[in-house]
Amino acid sequence: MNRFVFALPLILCASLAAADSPRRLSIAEQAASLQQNLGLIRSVVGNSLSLAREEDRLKRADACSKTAADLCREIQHAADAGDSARAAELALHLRKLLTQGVSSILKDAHKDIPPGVSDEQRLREIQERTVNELRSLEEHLPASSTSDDLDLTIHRVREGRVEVEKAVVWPKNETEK
Amino acid sequence: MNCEALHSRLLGSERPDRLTADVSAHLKTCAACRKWQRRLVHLERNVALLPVAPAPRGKAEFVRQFIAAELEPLSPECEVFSESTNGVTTIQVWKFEKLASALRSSLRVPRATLNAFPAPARRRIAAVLAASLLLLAFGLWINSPTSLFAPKPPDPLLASVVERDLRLAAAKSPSERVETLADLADDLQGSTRTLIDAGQPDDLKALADLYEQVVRDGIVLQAKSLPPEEQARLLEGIADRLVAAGDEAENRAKVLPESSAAPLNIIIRAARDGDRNLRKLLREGRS
Repeated sequence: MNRFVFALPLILCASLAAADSPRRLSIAEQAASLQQNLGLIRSVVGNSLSLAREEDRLKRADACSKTAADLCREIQHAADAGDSARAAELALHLRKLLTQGVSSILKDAHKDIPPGVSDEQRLREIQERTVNELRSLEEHLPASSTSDDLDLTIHRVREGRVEVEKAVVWPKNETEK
Repeated sequence: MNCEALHSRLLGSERPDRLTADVSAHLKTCAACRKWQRRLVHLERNVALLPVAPAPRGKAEFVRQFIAAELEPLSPECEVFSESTNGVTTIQVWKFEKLASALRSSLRVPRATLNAFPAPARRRIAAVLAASLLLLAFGLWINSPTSLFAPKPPDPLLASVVERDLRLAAAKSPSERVETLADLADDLQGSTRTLIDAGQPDDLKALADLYEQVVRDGIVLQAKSLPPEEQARLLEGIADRLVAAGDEAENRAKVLPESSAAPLNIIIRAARDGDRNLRKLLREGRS
């Protein structure tokens, strides 16, 4: 009995130590993740090469927007398959891409483009296409009450969409056209 | 004092034969408690006579060696009290005295507090404390990231590739782009080597192809747009990294069957081509 009682603090310390060390994916889990995410990795690396190559801000925004669309499709697939944890993980990447990629490139591009030129129209098309893609994803995701991860997914997608909407605010009469 | 209180007091006492004044007073007036106390004293005395199982062989051997061990010479500043035990063995008593006094000082206060509770209550408290600690440990383990019930961590390769992409989106200079592309190439070749035994051959080949693409269409192409002074500053280091990646892939490929080594061979080829092209650019820049 005494030995058991003396072992308890050791068990407690071991639990504290275990609670402090983050779990990492095993090699087998990483291999499974690679199989699942290869399409996305290809898309993101392709986008990276475009971003490295292109000086044209509109082309850079367009490349980021296409990767965002790929992420939206994967999030939808994950949610449809009931894998809400994966949907939340991908939504985190999507939000980063939208806020630090699409949105900031759109802002910079808008500063450089004089009003009324054709580039402005292209800029607007890229923004609208991205926002529409995100709205469509938000509408098609399952009801949020079913899981915390799904709530998180919807929240992240919405935050990203709001950032893209705020990147360039068009005058009201132009928006109505 | 009533009978129940007296029973509790005697059960909690280490010497039920030594009576305090109030216990004696009650016993004088209560025949049933006198009989109960006599039985308890009888029981306590006989418990000490119960046979004890012999110590395990390992423990007995340890005690024998400990007693028979030769003493180390003591330093003069140590105060030594030695006493003879069974006429043969000498024990360094001062060490035991020091240990005992340390133990006594650490136990004195809790012991006094504990003695205020009867033995059954102490056992219950100990059991409750033990159960609480176990429950706490279990709770910590369940909620820890290492637990079986913890959510699966994110894919490190995807997370890292996205981070590189965002750095490229924010990059303001060609040198920043080349450096980020070199980091991206490292991620891709590192993952290919890590997963070479566990991944699907097609997936690994696709990863190696991406590495080749990043080196050829990313690093080498962008390196050409760097000003000569930036080329001199950056390209030597990146070329060295490519050489190291090629060598590591080659070492790994040597111990694998030819069919499994195909993705590593792509990495070796891409790294060596990349290194050659970067060094050519460096030479051109110098001349």
